[in-house]
Amino acid sequence: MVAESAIADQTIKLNATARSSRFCELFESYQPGLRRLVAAYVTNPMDREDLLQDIAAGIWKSLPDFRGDATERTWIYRIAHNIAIRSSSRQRARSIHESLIEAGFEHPSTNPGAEHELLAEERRRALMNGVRELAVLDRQIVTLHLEGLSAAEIEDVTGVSRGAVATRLTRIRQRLAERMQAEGIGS
Amino acid sequence: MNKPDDLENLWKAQPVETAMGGEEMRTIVLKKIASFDRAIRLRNRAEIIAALLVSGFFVYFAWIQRNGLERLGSIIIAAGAMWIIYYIRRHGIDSGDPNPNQTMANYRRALALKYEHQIRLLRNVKFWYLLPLYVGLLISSAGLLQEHAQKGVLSWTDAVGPLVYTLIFVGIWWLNEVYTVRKLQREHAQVTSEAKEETQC
Repeated sequence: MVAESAIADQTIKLNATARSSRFCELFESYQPGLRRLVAAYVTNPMDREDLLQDIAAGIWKSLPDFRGDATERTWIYRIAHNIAIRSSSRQRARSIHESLIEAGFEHPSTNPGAEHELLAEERRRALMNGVRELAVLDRQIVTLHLEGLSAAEIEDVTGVSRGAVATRLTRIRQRLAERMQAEGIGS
Repeated sequence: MNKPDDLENLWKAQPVETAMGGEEMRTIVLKKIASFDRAIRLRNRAEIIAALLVSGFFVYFAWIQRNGLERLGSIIIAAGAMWIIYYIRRHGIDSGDPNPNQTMANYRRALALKYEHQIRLLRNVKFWYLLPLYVGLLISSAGLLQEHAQKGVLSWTDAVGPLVYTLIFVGIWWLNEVYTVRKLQREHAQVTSEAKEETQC
């Protein structure tokens, strides 16, 4: 009886260790993508950090249920977007009054490559602002697409058919390109 | 569609906050979950203790009362407090968020249902929360008025108590049925409009 209990304890400890190391591994490899996703929903740096922590908590809690029915990244992005939906529905009223200007904007340096870097920075900012201005579903589809997910994977995450995803992406990309052209920083 | 293009490269070059180690995030997450669970546990405990205290006080009050109306009112309040705690537990006003591990379309539907459930409960707050206590207080106050009238000491100050608790109850009603319901309706409208957008795809 004692031996059985010791084995059970050992198994629980091993499971807990495996869960911890799996979480760390997943979080570290998806962190940049998750941070970009969070930035597409909220502009305030503190809210961004809060949302990232909520997403990480969602991943931690859902980890034991991950059976590999979906690919790892569709599973992660599904959790992340769903938690962001919840959070953004709560924060929306506050967020719409926030400036779209990024916090922590760095002033251009006087380095020789500064002009080039400034232009790249403006293009990145215009893209992020363009993404933030999209309707929520469009924003979700395009962020998944820009993270490199295929139409089939986007269908897995959003539940929107891959045909509809492709149609929407054409329209969204065109809209983003037009926005950047209008700002004189198109490619 | 899988080949990285200019837009995708530009997106992936977005400056992001300083990366955090997985272990550090795990510690933060565990602390956050523990503090959330603790807050829920404390709130549940506080609700039960408050209900028991209110019930205990009014049972005692009913026991020592000689006036029938005041006794009846006290018993109704004591039973009302227990009923409220049962109702909250049974219908779980602040039930957790839907499982995030589902498609966004299903998640939105689950979220919309959760909002509808909360709105329905709050819209009925006058029946399951305010009414039992208010009726009990009114009957109790009527008993007090009757007692004062019999003793010939009835004065305008006897109206102060009922006026104060009526104002408090109106405040609670407004906070729940007007303010919070409106707030939840706004969140619900946003979620359902996004869900509608999805069904049009």
